[in-house]
Order: sequence, then structure tokens, then C-alpha cells
Amino acid sequence: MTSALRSLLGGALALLVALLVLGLAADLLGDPVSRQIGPEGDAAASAALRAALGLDAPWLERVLRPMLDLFRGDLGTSSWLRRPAGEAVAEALGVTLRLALLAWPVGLAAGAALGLALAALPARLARLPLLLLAVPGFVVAVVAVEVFAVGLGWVPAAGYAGLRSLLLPAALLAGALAVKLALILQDGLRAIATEPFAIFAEARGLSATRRLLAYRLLPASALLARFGALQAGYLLGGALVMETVFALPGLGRLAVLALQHGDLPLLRAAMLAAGTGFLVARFVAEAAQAALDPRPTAARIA
Amino acid sequence: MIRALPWLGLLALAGLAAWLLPDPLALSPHRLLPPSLDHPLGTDPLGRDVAARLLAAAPGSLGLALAGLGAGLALALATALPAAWLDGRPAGRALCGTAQALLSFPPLWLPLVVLALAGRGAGAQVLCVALVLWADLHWILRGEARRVLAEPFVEGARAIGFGPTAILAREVLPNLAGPLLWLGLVKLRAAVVLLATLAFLGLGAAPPAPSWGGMAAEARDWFLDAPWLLAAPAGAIAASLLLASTLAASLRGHLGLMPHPTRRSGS
Repeated sequence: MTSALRSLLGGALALLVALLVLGLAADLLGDPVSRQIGPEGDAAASAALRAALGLDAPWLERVLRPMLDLFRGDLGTSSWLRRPAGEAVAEALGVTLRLALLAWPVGLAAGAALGLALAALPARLARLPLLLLAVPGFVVAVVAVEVFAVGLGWVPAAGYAGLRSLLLPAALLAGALAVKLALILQDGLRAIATEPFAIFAEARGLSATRRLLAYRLLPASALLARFGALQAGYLLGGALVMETVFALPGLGRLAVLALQHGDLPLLRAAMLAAGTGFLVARFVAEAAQAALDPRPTAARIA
Repeated sequence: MIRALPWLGLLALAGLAAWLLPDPLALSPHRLLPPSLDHPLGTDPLGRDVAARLLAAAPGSLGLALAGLGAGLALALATALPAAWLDGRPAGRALCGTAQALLSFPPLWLPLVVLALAGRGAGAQVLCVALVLWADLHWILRGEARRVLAEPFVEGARAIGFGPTAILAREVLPNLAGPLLWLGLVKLRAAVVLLATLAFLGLGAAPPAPSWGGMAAEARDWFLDAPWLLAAPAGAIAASLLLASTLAASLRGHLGLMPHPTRRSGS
């Protein structure tokens, strides 16, 4: 538990540093005012926008102000959307949360089932799903959207209009999660099968089902819990690719668009939301693993 | 190594084709032609030869991935060796803590920060790959270095008065050559996929310059009419990943290395 807490604190520190660096970088990225009004624009208009965005302050204040505002709960104003960045991020977070909540349990269950099935196969055959990893996720997503959404018209191809829009991206995310999880779980199950307690269970003449569930799946559940919770963090951190392919107004797409528009307050706010979600998921992952499998902590004390 | 021969043949073929194919940026009225003898992989909506573009994109896709991988390995070595030597002391812990901290970003978000700060140039892309790979490589190389540091010949080197730099450079580093080469081949997958994904998201090189991820993004709108536009970059990516993993598997057989280095990342 203490090590999980330590990594949570370390991660929070890293996130703060990243946010601070993004604040420092405002000047490096070019002037958002000349980007919006154009270099030959009206001088009075650019001065007004400059003052509205707080860009006329001395640079130290410009760097520190976002951090101070952050602690007061103010995430700043998006220079691209011209609205509070916190609001935009909260809306996008809703979409990403729904996507993740849909994909995660399905992927976890399918991965566990697939892992059990693969562990029953000969080792050579069970390596075949590794080939799937040679195809990047965005290629699979593009083919799926063109076939199922554009070609067959089963689900909407782009935009967010309720649950139906989330079905295909969630299925793709769940599939990717299931393959990764299955490969890790089958490795774990194979390793556990050679442990003395598993051999002893066989020698006692226990049924195959009971051996599989109580003597192999139970010890492997710590692995499952840790990896599963970590992946929840990844999904929450923004299924960037899926949100781009399906034009879903989620957190990842918001961050990519913010980067393309040079909108640092928005990128910073999205980063804060994604990073916090990821850190919480990782904390749960490590705490769950420690609870299910106390061995590593016991070894550290000894 | 025998298993890698067909792949090396493929590379030689690609080199030969680079000679014979037309200019990758030349526009022509022959738009969206299916694969034929004149255009082995067809043409795109602007009449450009897909095969020529695929090859022209290789330096920007595969080359930058290799450069980022090399930078990541160098960075990881520079932190892993001191961290292994200073194991448990504050300086060593600080190095490990920094590597650990980078793991607290969800995948693909660290590159967003890097690209926001460093622009869209080749250097920024290389930096993205290096930083994303660094933490994993650091932990693996640190473990390997600690294993070597416990060997009797290191004890011997200490006894005859070698300093830390000499021991790390002359005793530990040569013993890491095998793991380094193999890790590089294993991590090449992550590097290529990362760069292709960034290009697909529209965060890669600027449009006229071809990249495999960018070509896949352009192919989207034409998928139902011209599926070869997507198949070509996807095939190039898959072929280079399979080549790397074939080489890695045969190398592992030769060196008798450990089986699973990527377990902790989960990505």
C-alpha cells in the first residue's frame, strides 16, 4: 500500500511539472493573438484580445498565474474555443468516461475468457494472437468504420449522438484490451502451472476445473487486477485514436485539436483531467495487486 | 538468422524499386488506378504512385523510429548504469524516480506535451520516441547492469583498483551489448507504431512529405473505392514490425536472453 501511495505522489508531482512546463512554453508556441487575428489585423482589436487573454502581463506572472488559478480551481480560458477550458474538458470527459465504462468491462471479461482458452492450447498455437499486434490500432479502426458504419450503415460513422455512436469504438477498444490481456494472462497461467502447489493439486487428484479455477486462475487474479485497472487508466487517459477516427468529442480528440490550434490552456486542462484519471486508476491497480497478492510487500519487510 | 533471409530479400527489392519507380511527388491525371504493372501499388487521388510514396516515406517513418530508438537506448544507458552503481543511494533513487514519473502519463499524452513544446520537426518526433521508450528501457537495463555488477569479474576489477567509470564502461557495458541489440529490435515495434499513430492523428510531418501514418489517414476517405491506399502503408508497417520481431526471436535464440522484458509497461 505504501509503495502504491508513493507512486501516486510521484506521478502527481510529474503531472504538476508537466503542467508548469506547458505554462512556461506559452511563448515558444507562437502568439495566439496573431494566429487568430492575423499579423496585419487591427491593432486595437489585437490589444483588446491580448488583454482579454491576459497576455499583456509580465512573463513571470503569465507563467505563475495559471498555476495559482489551477489551485483555485480555475483552468483558464481556451483561446481557440473562447470559453472556459474547464467546461470544455468536463463535457469531453463525459464522452470519454462513457466510452471507457462501456469498453473496459467487456474487454476485461473477453480477455479473461480468451486467456483461459489460449492457456489450454499448445504453446505454439497460443502465440498466434501476437501477430495481431503487428497491425496498428488505427488501421483496424479505419477498416471497421468504413465497413460497419459507412458500408453497412449499422452504426453512425462520426460524431456523438448517444449510445449508438459509442458501440463500435467501444467494441474496438474492448477487442484491443482483450487481446493484450489474454496474452499476459496466458503467460501467467502457464508460469503458475509449473509451481509446486499446482503440481501438488494435480497429485491430489483434484478435478481439472477446480485446479484451473482455484489453483491457477486465483493466483493469476492479482495480475488480472493490476493490468485491468491500469488499462482502465489508459482508456480514461483518452482513447485518442478511436476518438479521432470516429470524430467523437472526447478528451483525447480535444487535446489533439488543442495542440493543433496551439491552445495551451485547453491542452493543460485536458492533460490535468487525463493525468488525474490515469493516476487514480494506477493507484487502484497497485493497491488491488497488493491486497490480492501480499508477497512483494512481505519480501520488502523481511 | 535463416528465417530472416526472406525479409532481407524484401529490403533489397525495396532498394531496387526505389530506383525504378517514378517521382513520389509527381502529380498525374491517372487517379485512383488499381495496382498494375505500371503502378505496382496503384495511384492515389492526386495521381501519385503509391509504391513510390511508400518508399519515400520510409526514412520519415522507419528512419525516425530508428533514430528515436537509438536516442532512447542511449538515454536509458546513461541513467541505468549510474542507477545500478548507486543502487539504493539517493542519486540512484532520483534517477529511477524520474523514469518512474514518466510512466505516470497515459500513453500518447507524453508526446502531446513534447510536440506542444518542441514543434513538429523531425527532432521533436525523435524526442517523443526516446522519452516514451526511456522508462521501460531504463528499468530493464538497470536490472541487467545490476546482474552484471554482481559477477565475480567485477569483484576482480574492483580489487585491482578500477574506478566506477572504468568498471561501468569496460566490464558492464560490453556485457550489455546483446541485451541492447535485442531490446532495440523488440522496442522497434513501439517506436514505429508511435510515429505512425502520431502521423495518423495529424501530428506528424507537414502534408506534402509522405509518412506511413499520414498515408493511412489520407486513405480513409477512399477506402471503399480504393482499399489499396490503406493496405499499402498498413502492409509496410506490419512488414517492418514482423521483420524486427523475426530478427529479435532469432537473436534471442543465439544469445539465450531473458524472455519477457515488456511486461511492466502494459502498453
